[in-house]
Amino acid sequence: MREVAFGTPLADVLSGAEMAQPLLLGGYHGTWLRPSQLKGLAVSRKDIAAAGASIGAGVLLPLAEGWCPLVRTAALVDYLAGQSAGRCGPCRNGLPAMAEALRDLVHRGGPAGRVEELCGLVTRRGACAHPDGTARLVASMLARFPDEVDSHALGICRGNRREVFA
Amino acid sequence: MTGADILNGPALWFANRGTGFVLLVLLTVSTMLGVLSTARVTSRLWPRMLTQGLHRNVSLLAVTFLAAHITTAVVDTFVDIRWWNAFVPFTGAYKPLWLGFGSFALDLLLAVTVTSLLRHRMSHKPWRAVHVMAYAAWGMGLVHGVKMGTDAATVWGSALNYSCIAAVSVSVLARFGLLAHSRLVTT
Amino acid sequence: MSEHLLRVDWPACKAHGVCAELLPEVISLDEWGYPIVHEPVKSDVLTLAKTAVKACPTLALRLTEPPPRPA
Repeated sequence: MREVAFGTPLADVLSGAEMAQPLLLGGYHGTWLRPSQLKGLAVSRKDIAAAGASIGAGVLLPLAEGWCPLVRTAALVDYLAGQSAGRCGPCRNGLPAMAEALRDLVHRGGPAGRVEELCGLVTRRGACAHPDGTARLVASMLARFPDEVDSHALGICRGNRREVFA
Repeated sequence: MTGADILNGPALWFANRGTGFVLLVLLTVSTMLGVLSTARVTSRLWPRMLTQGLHRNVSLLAVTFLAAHITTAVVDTFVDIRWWNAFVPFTGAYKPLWLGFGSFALDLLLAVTVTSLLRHRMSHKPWRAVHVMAYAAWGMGLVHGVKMGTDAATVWGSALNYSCIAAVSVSVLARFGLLAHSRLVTT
Repeated sequence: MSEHLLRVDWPACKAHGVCAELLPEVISLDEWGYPIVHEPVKSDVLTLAKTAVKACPTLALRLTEPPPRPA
């Protein structure tokens, strides 16, 4: 936990190794950013909005070295699906389906289209923003890591930390 | 036939017995349609709004037969049933216990009818709490008919009673069976 | 002319699907039976929309008029 002034360069908050990794900005309901997007970025609403993200919960989660962002996202969505209060139908049905579709995409080369479709089916269709935040996380994964999505479709994962799902 | 003949003759008594059985059938059909709508039974040939519309119209028809059933019982002079006996349970001189079951059913059905006519002005939970009383009303009406009905002991009368019990039981069991297969929360 | 909007009370909706039968012009159902509201309610289907609101078995559908846009 650190308190930083708005405008602090991200490079002053994160280590050099962390700057070279994908960053999940805004917590589990946040947005993925590629390492190339982090250079020159400051912790300010304007900069972060320009990068297509938001500060959200104020949590920075750099991906640990050797991990695949898709594997990490699938694990997060698995967790988030379990955190649904289950009061609204689209979330109660949609998040487990999304977790399943991501598992399928990440481990069995399943279609990304199904994941996108489910993002649309849960967004703005609940009493709270839990499904929206989960869809934001997943949509940013698809948007920021298209090469990884393509390689997973061919059964190739560049990460070596697949045990998160074991 | 003059007005006095109708009042003193057997016509009202027969009408009372007849409307009683018609009521049993209408309330049974209405209950089944209500159960069917909560179980979300649907197909292209039988849309949900058909179940819903029939449930409403059959119920309203039952209310008119209920009015006729009560009016004939009160106006008829063959047995002594006063109008307040119809509304206040267990106050009658004639078979007060079994008449009371009918009065109780009437009161419940009045509450169910009024809340349903005003349903869109209510919140869902209190409406539903009142509406499920319709099951109790159906059961009490049945007991009222079985224990008090002049024709309940006849072959056709008991056959009708048993058929209605079977119909409601089967639809309630089917409803729970169907809901167990889906992930929907019941309401 | 202002268009009415249909809002779903999500915790209240129990996927009966009556709304989509009564108002297919505006509402379809997702794969689990919950409504998808596609567009604002135009005046030609306003009466149908009011019927759908009244017919919802759990009263989970609301018709709201958007605030008038500043000229």
